[in-house]
Amino acid sequence: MTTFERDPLFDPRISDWLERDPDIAPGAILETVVAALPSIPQRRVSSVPWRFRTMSMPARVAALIAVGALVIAGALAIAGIGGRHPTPSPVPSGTVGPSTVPSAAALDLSSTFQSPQYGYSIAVAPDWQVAPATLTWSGPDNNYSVDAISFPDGGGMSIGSEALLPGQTWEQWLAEFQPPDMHDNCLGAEPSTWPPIQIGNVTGAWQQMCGDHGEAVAHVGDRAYVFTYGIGDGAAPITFEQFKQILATVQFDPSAVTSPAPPPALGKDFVSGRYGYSLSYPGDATATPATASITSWAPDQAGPEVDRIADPSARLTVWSEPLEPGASYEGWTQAYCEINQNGWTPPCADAPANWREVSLASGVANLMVDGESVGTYGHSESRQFLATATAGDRVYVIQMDGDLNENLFLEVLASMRLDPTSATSTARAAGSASVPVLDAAFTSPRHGYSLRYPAGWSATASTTSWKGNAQPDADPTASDRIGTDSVQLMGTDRRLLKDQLPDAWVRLYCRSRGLTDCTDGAPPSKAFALGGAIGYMLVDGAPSPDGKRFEAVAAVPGHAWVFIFDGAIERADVDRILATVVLRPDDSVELPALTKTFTSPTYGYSVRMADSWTSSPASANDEPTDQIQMTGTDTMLYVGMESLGSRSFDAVLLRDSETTDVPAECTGGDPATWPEIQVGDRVGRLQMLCNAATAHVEVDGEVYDFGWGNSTFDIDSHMNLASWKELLKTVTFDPSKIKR
Amino acid sequence: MQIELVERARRGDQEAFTSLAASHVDACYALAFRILRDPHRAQDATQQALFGAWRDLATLRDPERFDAWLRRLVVHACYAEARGDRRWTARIQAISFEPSNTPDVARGVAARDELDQAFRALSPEQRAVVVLHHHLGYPLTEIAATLGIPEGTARSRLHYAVRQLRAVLDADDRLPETSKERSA
Repeated sequence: MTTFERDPLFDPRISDWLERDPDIAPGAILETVVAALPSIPQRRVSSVPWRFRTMSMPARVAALIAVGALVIAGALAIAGIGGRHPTPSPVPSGTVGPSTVPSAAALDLSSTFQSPQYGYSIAVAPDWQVAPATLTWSGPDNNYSVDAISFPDGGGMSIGSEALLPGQTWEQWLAEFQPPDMHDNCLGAEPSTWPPIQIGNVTGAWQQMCGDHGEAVAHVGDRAYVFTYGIGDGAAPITFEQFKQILATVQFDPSAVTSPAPPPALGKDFVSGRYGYSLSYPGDATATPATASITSWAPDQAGPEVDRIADPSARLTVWSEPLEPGASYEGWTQAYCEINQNGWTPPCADAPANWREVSLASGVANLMVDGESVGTYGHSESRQFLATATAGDRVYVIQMDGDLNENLFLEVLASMRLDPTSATSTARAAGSASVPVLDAAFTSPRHGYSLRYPAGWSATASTTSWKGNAQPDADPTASDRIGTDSVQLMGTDRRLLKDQLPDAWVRLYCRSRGLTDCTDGAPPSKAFALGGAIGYMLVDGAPSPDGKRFEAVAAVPGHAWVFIFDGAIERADVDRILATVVLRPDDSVELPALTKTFTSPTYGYSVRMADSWTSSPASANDEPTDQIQMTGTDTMLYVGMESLGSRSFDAVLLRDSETTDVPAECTGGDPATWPEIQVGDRVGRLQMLCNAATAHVEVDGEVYDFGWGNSTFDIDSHMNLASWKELLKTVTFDPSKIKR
Repeated sequence: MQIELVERARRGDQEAFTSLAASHVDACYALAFRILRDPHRAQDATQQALFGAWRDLATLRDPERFDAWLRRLVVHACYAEARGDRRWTARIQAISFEPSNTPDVARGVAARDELDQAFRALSPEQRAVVVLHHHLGYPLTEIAATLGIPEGTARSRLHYAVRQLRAVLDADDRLPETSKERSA
């Protein structure tokens, strides 16, 4: 049950005050910036991203294309460096890389970089930036697992290394490094075809990739080394020939390889009766068993619902729950990843076939997040590890955060025994259904959603939009109301502020309502799927005068919804109804109160408008359309009229479809396909014109055009199409007032 | 789509950067205005941030972080803008308003005016934290990351800023009682 305690650092009065400020920039800013660009030199790219060895294929190709794109421009700019084909081709033995190259200019390689981790040294120029790896390369990786050398005029190289597995041959390592399904036009061909390249006194192999990107690989003793190269896009890049000069200076010393410091000894044991497992942990850490069972699958990592083992620099949390009947472990884990994504990269978002298994003392777990950096910038970032596992009918979540020794997590997992039979925690959701069959459908005319409800309930659509962060059910006209005398469902929506993240809105809303689960840095708990978005049950059965209160929110980029249930209803019924919700942000009407009327002095019609909007009647000499500017947006309603004369309405539509004033793909196509649209008490036809639209309607021999025009392509700045359609319903025609 | 634009822009594609700037200029301005409380200064800060984005885009390691990176440039441009003119406080103008027949409206205007002045009295660093927290809804961890400061520093700045603003708001909440005492 939700309790009420306020975030002491949040005051909704300040939030409301800030929301009154302008959100639209003066046009002069962009004009000035664009005009100045040619005179502002750009700084150059400084490094080459590392490849992701076990990245999923689409992601990997995308990443490599991105790298290729970085270097292609520079490649094309360098006269005399030919052969940089998108599809690499083998080159004669003894020569590698581009087939024709200029002689390499001498480099000042008077400094030496000694890899602190990978057992090699390489000559570098004194002014090159070198960033040693701070993580050890192991499976899915990130840029911090390689030594990165940045060339001063763009481009660079990176070096990673790992030990071959016991008994693994070099050919086997290469086959795993580049499996057959990864040979394509951007990566190299079959590794056995890679031409030789000299790396110090070792002959390795060169894989040419897109543009001027490639990898030199070699094995020394039982270790594999990978040297990645990208030319960059500077005016004087390090050429491939110079890269080979640099490679020639490499000196390998595998005996100097240093592993990360060994993890602390696991000197203590922890047994969780609640969640059914045991594990060992470092002796200087403190274990805090959960004091309550899990109620959300996005629990507060510092809260009472998780077993927690922590020291000042790191925190391990564990919880488990029974899988629902028929649910699969893989499906559960994928949904968990989706709910808790927070920017996580594969494999958490990857297909189960690509998950990485790690050993437990009993069984295996899947490593879903492997040292992902979270929260801050730079090499000192806090990192996160996450694994899930299943045993019996139960799924386990093991997470570690902090300034971590990367092997510690694996060591802890290796000590973990799952014992689902001893677990006492129950499933999260419980309740009984008391609401009848959901045999009626409601589509909100204003708030961009639909849902199903019992036919015996009444449904009343709202008539206004929800304003800001005010309590959504405070204004009875601002939310749809569905229910009976004993239970009410209220649904409403709002557009997010420009640049506002959905999660941020949820937290902001949560705070403004004085609810819990809104603490800094922690995502709101009680997450669940709501209409295809991530929803949060912010109020979960709190007592209310009429029974219980539930308050669910969902947010997607640009939009948010609130659904409130109050009265004689249980969570299970709330879940049943919410499971039928479909969110349609494009159908949301965002009109302010239409408090006044614009009456055309020329064209014999009127339309409602908001106080803040401005109108400009047509002028016979200069401007043939009436125009209404929707203040606070980049949208304008413009209205023109012409007499039908001897033409048919269809002929006029056909003429308008052949306009050359807009790009050919934006004319709306065949008028016969244009949908109907309500304009006042008449039905017209809607011509979509990419980021604009026109409603054509015939009234007593006159053809009116009502335009939806937007001055930018930024949809976040528009008054949306649904709102414009709603506005057109307020039109009234009086042809007797037409001035010809 | 945006990542592609960022990649193109960092390779010198002015058209791509123009598209990026066009899609972010409103958000940049909105953030700058709320921190600086001055349309002209907000305009200058927005321009400086966008200039800086173009100049230093190649140093952005992860194109996916463009939005956060640009917000940071805007905030720092606001700092520079606020410090660039020592007459900052002298530029504050009291907003006069006619006494209203509807006390709630008048009181609301007065409260906003006082809140505006209290906000201007904060340091630019405090204002930035307040705006990111109260307007964009960012948690302290994200504010710290955006501004490149420790989370504790962000918390401290927010604590003292909110305390000062609350003092104004709470005083306003007590206004009716004060009025009654005076009339009595």
